[in-house]
Amino acid sequence: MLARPIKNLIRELRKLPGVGEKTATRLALHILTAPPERAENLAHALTEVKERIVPCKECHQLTEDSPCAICASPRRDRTLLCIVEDQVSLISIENSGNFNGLYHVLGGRLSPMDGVGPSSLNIPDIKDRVRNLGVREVILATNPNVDGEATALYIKRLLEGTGAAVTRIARGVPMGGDLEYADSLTLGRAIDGRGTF
Amino acid sequence: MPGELDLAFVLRLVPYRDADLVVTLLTQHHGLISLMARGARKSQKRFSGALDYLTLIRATFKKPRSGMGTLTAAESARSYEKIRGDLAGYHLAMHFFEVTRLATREGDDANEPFLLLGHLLTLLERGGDRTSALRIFHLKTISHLGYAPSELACASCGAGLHESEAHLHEGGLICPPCGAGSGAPLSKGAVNSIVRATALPYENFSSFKLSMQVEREIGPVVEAALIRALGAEPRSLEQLHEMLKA
Ligand SMILES: [Zn+2]
Ligand SMILES: [Zn+2]
Repeated sequence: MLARPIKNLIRELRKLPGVGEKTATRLALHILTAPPERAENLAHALTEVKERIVPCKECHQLTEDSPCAICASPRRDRTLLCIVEDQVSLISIENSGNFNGLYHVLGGRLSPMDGVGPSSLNIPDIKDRVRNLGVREVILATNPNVDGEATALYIKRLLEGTGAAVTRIARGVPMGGDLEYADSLTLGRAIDGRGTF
Repeated sequence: MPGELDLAFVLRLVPYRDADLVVTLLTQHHGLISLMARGARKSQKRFSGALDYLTLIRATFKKPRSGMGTLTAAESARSYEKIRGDLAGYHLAMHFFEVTRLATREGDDANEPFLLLGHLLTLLERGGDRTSALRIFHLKTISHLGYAPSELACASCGAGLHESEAHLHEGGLICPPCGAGSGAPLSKGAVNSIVRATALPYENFSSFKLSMQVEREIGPVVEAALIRALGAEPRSLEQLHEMLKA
């Protein structure tokens, strides 16, 4: 029988994505047997990240300062807007070095089975951003799977009449795959090879 | 253990751990199964990029007597490209997948739901009427769950319902006296459409068309009956309404 505080910790760890009972138990026991300062550091890092990190009011990426460094930078091309599902995609594209515009982070993709529609994502404000920034091209870099394609299609419809060209990243990224696993080189090529959508 | 081979629709994909996917399939001969697709989010080489919604796949899998089986290979037998490129069609198809998953249990014979999905997706792929497809699907699912709305008799008292108004309750169609107190009954035309859609042969799917007036009458009633039969409201329903309006 495990003591209540350990059970508590396991229960909290299990709420993390991809963590099952076994992994949660292993992590909990690891934390328990590690030196006390390790646990303190972890607790501190967790609290700090929640206190200090906010979504950028412009692009919704997670940042310490809002607007974020990318949105605030005078060196970025403000007429190019790349729409990504999440922070991970943003980082991958940023690492490819092939893009110098601004981003817009959706916070997910359409997922009807989970009840996720456009209003649960950072979609409604895209049109205003495109207008206010005077964006000439919107690059849709959602994942190349059925839900990601539907999300791209929805945004494309939304942007009709804004005058911005809408492009989609090239299919260099394997169909059905997760952008999270596309290496920066592939992703860079996909951005360069983007086409009208 | 040699792998099993079957045709299947992907009903649900859930990321697992870092790179895996738990895939829920509706197979033609093995019913509903959940399988682990290892590494599928990292590389779809073994799955030839076919592991996604709106693809009919040829799945090879290993199913142990207990515990979760493994999807070892998949290839596309058919891809529904037109539906993928149509937002309303996409939402409709995702609703079909969710409801089918809610309505089926592992171990059930699912050949009929499998054929139903196949015919409905073909109908949508060919540009068939979406609302009619939706109601055919709902009524056939309600019927498959054992709540057959039949015109033969009132599900409560057994009175004949031929050319009659009626109510649609969880048990099926109910005659007006038995349904007294539950609002206005459905018109004869609406009852007729419900009965026809429930029994509609696959080959007649494309010629079945609900009028706007009948749809307005039966839509909410059919959905309420479906939710009662499923015991849960499908999460895809709200978005679907939005998209069908647009
Ligand atoms: Zn920003
Ligand atoms: Zn009766």
